[in-house]
Amino acid sequence: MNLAPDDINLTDPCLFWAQEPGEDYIQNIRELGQAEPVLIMAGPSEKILVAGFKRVKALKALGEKVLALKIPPADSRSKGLIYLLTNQGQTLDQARIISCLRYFSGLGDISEQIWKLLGIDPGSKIQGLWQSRLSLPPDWDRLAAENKICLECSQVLEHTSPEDLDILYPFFKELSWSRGNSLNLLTWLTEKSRMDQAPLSAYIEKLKLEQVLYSRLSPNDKIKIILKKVFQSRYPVLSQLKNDLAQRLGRISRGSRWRIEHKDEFESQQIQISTTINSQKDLEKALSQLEQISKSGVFDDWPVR
Amino acid sequence: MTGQSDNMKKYCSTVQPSHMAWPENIVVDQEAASTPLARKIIRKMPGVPLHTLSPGMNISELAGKDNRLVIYLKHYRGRFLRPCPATRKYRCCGYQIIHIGENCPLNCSYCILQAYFQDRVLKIWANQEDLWTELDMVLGRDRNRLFRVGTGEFTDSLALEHLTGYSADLAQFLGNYPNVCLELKSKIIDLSWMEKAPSTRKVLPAWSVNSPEIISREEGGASTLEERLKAAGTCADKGFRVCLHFDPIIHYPGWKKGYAHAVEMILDFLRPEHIAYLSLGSFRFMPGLKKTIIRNHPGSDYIYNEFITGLDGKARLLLTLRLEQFKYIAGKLKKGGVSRQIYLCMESDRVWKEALGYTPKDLGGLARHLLNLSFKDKAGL
Repeated sequence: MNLAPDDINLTDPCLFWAQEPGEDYIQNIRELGQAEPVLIMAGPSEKILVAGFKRVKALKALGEKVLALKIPPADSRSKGLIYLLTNQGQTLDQARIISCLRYFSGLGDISEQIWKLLGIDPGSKIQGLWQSRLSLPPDWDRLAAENKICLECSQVLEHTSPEDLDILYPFFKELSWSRGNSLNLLTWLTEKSRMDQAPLSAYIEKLKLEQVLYSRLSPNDKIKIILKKVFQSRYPVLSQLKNDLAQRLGRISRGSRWRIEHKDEFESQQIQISTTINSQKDLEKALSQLEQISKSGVFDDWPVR
Repeated sequence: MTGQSDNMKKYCSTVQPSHMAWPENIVVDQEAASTPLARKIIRKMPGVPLHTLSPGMNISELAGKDNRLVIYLKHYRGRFLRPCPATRKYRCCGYQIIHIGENCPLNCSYCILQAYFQDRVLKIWANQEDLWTELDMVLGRDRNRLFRVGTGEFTDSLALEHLTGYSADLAQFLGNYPNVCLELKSKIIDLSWMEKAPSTRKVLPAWSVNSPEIISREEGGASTLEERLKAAGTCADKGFRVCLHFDPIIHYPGWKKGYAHAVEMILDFLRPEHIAYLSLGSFRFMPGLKKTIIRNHPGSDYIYNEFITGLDGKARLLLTLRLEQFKYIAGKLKKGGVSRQIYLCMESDRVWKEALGYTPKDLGGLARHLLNLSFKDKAGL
């Protein structure tokens, strides 16, 4: 049947990936016409779209009628499944997966069939992560859609109170965290909070993290300072040791071309000394500086004896 | 739960220790069903449903799906005797494991077995004849070579003793090998093996010890420290020397008081000469265990301490913190007269020197030192 676009109800929640058509898409419809009918279902007083949102919008923009196929009435779960099956070619990014999962979880349990259609193996670790994501309030979905928070963070946040989530939200809304940094931030904060049996918000306040977040610093500097403060709070003794050692190694190598590093978290006294040499002259200078370093007593009073 | 109560009624004539719930099923490999050990265990649990596993079938097809407690009498095909998994990065004690089964009915929050075995299937190697053959081949090859062996690596040495009598059988079997000393490491009390031990010099009963708070909070189902030490005292009275293992030492608020109390209790029940050796081992774990502990034991907040990745890839407490603990506990023990029996489990020479004032080298090598302590009469000590 041919329908006027305005006669079709485009608001059914089963259209969980509904997306406005872009110029290229409209142009394609203009040139090739509607190659495939949209799916509609007769409601009590109107025709409800079940698949083909973009096509209807494009045809409306072109002032064309919509070729539609009427399908028998179905419940919400079946409508969602039809929509999912007819959109199998879509790229499954975080935003799409979560909106699909939200739709089906709103109807009760998510069946194995849905997980599989989303390319997620039931019982897998990834499924566990998505289930954690579903436990977060829906406004966190927007952060995921903007790639501001990785999927693994959901698991860390799973048992966080709504109040703490509210306090954390701006940190992810305002700043773009790498996967590693966001996981570190949340892991350190939640672990500290569990260990001291205090709300996470107490640490955010104590460490004055909101002041850093809303300061005039660059986003990168804000992230760096926030992480440093949280690490110091989570690992006070290790932080102190690292600080002491950094100062010592900095003092010893100051003015020289040598870089001194310790990578064993104090399990050994091993250090790595490195430099770059470009000429014979560089080499001679570096050797002389190395001799000075060897006389500096770098291992005396090592932070952990 | 109804099933458990029913089973309990059927067991009323069997003495069931408090550390272990009633098993829901017994599964036996067809090949092991007629072994004396399998027959003995099955006879001891007449009310428990018995399933036979045909060759090619997997235990998971019969048990473990709903986390039931299952006894699995297995025909074991691997090596029974193997060296303790060591690392080149830290000093190891040269212990040899006699593999008699896997998994444990106790519920210690820090235990690595919960990561290895994610079910409640208690596996017992039922083909003891194969074990005796292998042990004879290795231990009997050169009777001048000394061995310190034990069973407490993949299971508790005594937790299933009431069913298996495995430790008693081992003690009896190894009585014929003067070059072997058997350590029985446990967190529960069962001294029934004593009757079969041919000599007090051949068996070293051993208990894992910890502060009373850690035992009560983190070692579900295990005996109290007092019970363990009383049992150790009984062994000492009978002429056995005992081993104690402070492992894992946990860093928690109030640890000094807790471990001081533990040392005091040790010295109340045992004289230094009763102790063959005593180890100190800080809590260390494969990184994957952390999630398991958080999931299975949400109240075990020691897991959030300052752990770093050690040179062996395992997480371990930051050196300054564990050194403080080692020094403190070793200091208390030394004051009580326990000194050269103390050793550190999986630590570097640097830590040994700082914590104990000597290194394994000063002792002639840790493995040799512990052999000497185990075979005190042989070493002329």
